[in-house]
Amino acid sequence: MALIIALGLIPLASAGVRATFFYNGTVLFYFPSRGWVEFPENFTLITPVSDVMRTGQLIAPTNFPGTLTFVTQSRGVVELQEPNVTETYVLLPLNSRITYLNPTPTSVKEENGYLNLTFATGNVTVLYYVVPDQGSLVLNPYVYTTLISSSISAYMAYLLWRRRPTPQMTPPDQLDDRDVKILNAIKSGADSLSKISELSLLPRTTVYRRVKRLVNMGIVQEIRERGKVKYVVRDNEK
Amino acid sequence: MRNSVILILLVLSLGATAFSSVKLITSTITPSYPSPTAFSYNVSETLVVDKEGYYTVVIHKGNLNLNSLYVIVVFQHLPGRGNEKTVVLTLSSESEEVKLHRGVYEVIVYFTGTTPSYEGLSTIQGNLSVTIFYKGEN
Repeated sequence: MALIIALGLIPLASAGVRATFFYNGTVLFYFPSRGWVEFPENFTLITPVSDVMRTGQLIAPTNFPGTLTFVTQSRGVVELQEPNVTETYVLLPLNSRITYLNPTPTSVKEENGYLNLTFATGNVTVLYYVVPDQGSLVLNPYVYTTLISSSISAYMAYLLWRRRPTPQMTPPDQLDDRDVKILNAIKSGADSLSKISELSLLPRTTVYRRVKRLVNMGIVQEIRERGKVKYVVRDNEK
Repeated sequence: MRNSVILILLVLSLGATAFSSVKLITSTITPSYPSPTAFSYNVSETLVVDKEGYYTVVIHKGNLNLNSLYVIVVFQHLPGRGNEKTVVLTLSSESEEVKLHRGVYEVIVYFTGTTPSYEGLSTIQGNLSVTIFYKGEN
């Protein structure tokens, strides 16, 4: 059986297999018609085994046209030794720097953000390294200036907030202008909340709250007569 | 008094933040050109090196407006093979140094890149060039 498969593969070895080597280590072999390639050393087959014919080191897809996909560790080295491959495409990122090429490519094209090197052979070696992208945020000085200036802004805003003027609170045992106004109104004869409010020109709710406080402080006396509440200033305060 | 100093510093730092943020955004976002046109071609020349040492390889763009450019310069020592030097030039690194020994080289230069609008290949070839000149022994 294996012999039949091998015989089926070998006579058509001249079929033009094309290889595409992506810089991330993915390698694709395209078989436009019946053909084979040698199982590349250090490559791992990705194509399902059911879609592959293999005899020894020779490997081919079960259907033509078909593809075989492998992965390998690229790490700056693209190396392919395939006598049956007639054309090889090597796709590298645009920020890669090639240090060695063998053989010289038939064409070099920038396509879809990649560098496409085309070789008219299956024996290809390309050495390259990737330089940090110029657009990388890590290398962009404006990232740092923005961070520093926004930090300074935040700190200055914090300093301003911390130094904001705090509202002056009257100690509970001291009288302020409004209390004095209320006391003067009571002294003038205003004995109910509405009259005190009228005379002192203060809102009724404020008057109520402050009068209650003055009562608690013992400055104002609250007198209840026939269901009515009257306010008078205590004698010792007059 | 101290508050006004802090306020002035706050205003200055806010201005600096706004300025650098705008610069950051404009430097991060790549402008979208209407229809970038890709080009690629290669030329080969024979180079006679009579002085061993370091040579500088520089690209010249002329008046050409380019989005991107990738130039590969391969020095093949003649007649033997296997003694090759490869230099890559781009818009961000327009010159490189290479050490060459005495002899005759075939220099193959691959140009590829994109222009913001259509430019005829002859215009591109007329503007783009690579110069190789002797720099010194070290």
